[in-house]
Amino acid sequence: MRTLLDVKNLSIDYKTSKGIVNAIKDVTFTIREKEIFALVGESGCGKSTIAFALMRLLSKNGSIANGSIVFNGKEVIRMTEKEMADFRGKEIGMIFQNPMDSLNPVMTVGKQVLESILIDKIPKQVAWEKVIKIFEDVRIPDARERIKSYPFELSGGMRQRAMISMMISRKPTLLIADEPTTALDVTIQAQILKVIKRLKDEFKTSVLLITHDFGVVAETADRIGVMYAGNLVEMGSLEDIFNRASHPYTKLLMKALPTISKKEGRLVTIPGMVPNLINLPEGCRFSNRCPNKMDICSTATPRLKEYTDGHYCACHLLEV
Amino acid sequence: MPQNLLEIKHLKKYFRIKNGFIRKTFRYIKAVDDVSLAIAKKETLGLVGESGSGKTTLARMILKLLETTKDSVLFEGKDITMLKRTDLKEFKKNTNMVFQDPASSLDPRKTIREILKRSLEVYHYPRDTMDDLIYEMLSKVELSVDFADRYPNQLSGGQQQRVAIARAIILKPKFIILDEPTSALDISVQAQILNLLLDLQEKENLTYLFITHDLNIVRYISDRIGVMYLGALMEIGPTEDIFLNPRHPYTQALMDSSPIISPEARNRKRFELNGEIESMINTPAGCRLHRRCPFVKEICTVDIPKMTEIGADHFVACHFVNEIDFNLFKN
Repeated sequence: MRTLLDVKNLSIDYKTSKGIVNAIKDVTFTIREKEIFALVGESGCGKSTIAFALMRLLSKNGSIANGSIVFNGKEVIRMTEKEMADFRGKEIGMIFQNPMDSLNPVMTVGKQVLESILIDKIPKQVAWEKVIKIFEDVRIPDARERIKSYPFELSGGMRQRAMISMMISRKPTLLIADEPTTALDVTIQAQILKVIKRLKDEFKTSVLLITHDFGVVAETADRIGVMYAGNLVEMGSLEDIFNRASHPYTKLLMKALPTISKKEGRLVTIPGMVPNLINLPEGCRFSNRCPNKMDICSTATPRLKEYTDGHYCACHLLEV
Repeated sequence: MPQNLLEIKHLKKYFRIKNGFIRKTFRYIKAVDDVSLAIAKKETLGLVGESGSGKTTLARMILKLLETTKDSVLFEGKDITMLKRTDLKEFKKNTNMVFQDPASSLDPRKTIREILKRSLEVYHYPRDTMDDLIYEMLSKVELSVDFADRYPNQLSGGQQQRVAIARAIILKPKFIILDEPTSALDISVQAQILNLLLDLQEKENLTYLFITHDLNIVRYISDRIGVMYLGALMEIGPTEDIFLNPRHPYTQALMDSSPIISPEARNRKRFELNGEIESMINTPAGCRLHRRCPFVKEICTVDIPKMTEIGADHFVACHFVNEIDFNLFKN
């Protein structure tokens, strides 16, 4: 399948009062057409930072230090602000964890979706019909009535659907979903994930799914990138990561997930905790917690390499 | 049969809400409606349900943090709603709670030592033994002694939760309510805390009520599971029975919508309910699920189903528990 997004050697720095923080280091990945690519990792690993960099929406103290982001053949980093304004929403849409933060509380959800459709200068009546059609596409029941609702009148799941409607109204080729179901109950989560999968199947939208929840990943993703402390440590298909994990961090994480009952034994824990990005260990960023640590791990940074078809890993262990 | 540490009978909590200014009308939110259950000594009962199902309200009533509207909570055979002052103090010593967000349950202006000392002071422990006890608790939750003089904001989320657990066990309680204790934590830390809780339970002979919305966690940690929906208990039974043989339509729907951490499970057939969780204000008459349940019949809209035992220690509140076949509606 054709490559839609090509991120190469991306590094992102944040200026803080304690010095420069290297939040993302040398991250390389691609997203193909019509696929759901999941970036997973624990809090602070940089998965959301990457999403914001793709939209060029990093906060003021953050900057892209190195690398390239090529979307549909265009270099995003070199686009002007004017080009960016057109690019955001039209090429890449984004939804967040809490839709209440992104929706306008004093405007009906229908009108908010209408606004984004009217950017394309079509008659209002046609636009309203489009809004209703999109609401139906994301399975909002009673769409004709719901367009008149304000965000506060809707449940969490319905708000997230309204948010998705607004994003897909401009038919972006890539949708970034940053923890889209974290604030929702499991039955509602299942419904929203179904909507996201439908976007891929019916509207051919690619999705960059950012989450910490491996259950959500197992249910939706085609390919997965695992992040740790600003590095992409492993990348591969769903089966590569869940059944054939090769990076020590991914392996441990898989065993730390509660998939057993206590009668079958204890969960594996990863000793220590995620390092502070200001005070990173030399060499491999996971080296101070890794059970298979070698001498080279504390001196040289392992590079992400392809070991079997499409399965990438950044670990010195695999090179010996 | 082990002795029950806690027994709840027909517990109810109705919150009254006012409407209108001059001509006031009252309606009730039935946050917990007629829940009965028992927890045996050294057992972990997992309580699952979506937001608004009444799990936390139930927990708060058990600990007497909230008055009950009706009927009793028996702790070690005594009705806690009737406790007198000294007995009440003894009860509070024997029970404690750990909350979801450790950052907001620890006083930011106090050191860990001061936080842990507070409950010892309330119970007049001798001053000279306090420090030793605090160090003992820190080592029990696998924190080094030098954490005693740090402030909560100097700790990571996992460490803060360890302090909250140390505070909960410092008075040597018998019963602890864990309200989503790991949902604010990362996966690797979550596993550490879950294992710590299991170790402590063995060493200190603790009984747990574990509240969560995460079915994978509840399966790992619980001996039995209770499933709540809109304030009512729908099904309760041994963990593996609930997982392998759920019998209430709500339990089945919850199980099927909960993500399974395995790629092979992705294309499984699922049983789904219609619509979304309803409002607590106008809870449906009869079975609370009837407007969403595909098996609904006349009686469901009128009579509240009673708990019936369908297997060893496995109870279900559904009129048609022996007739329904989930496969009819799976897709």
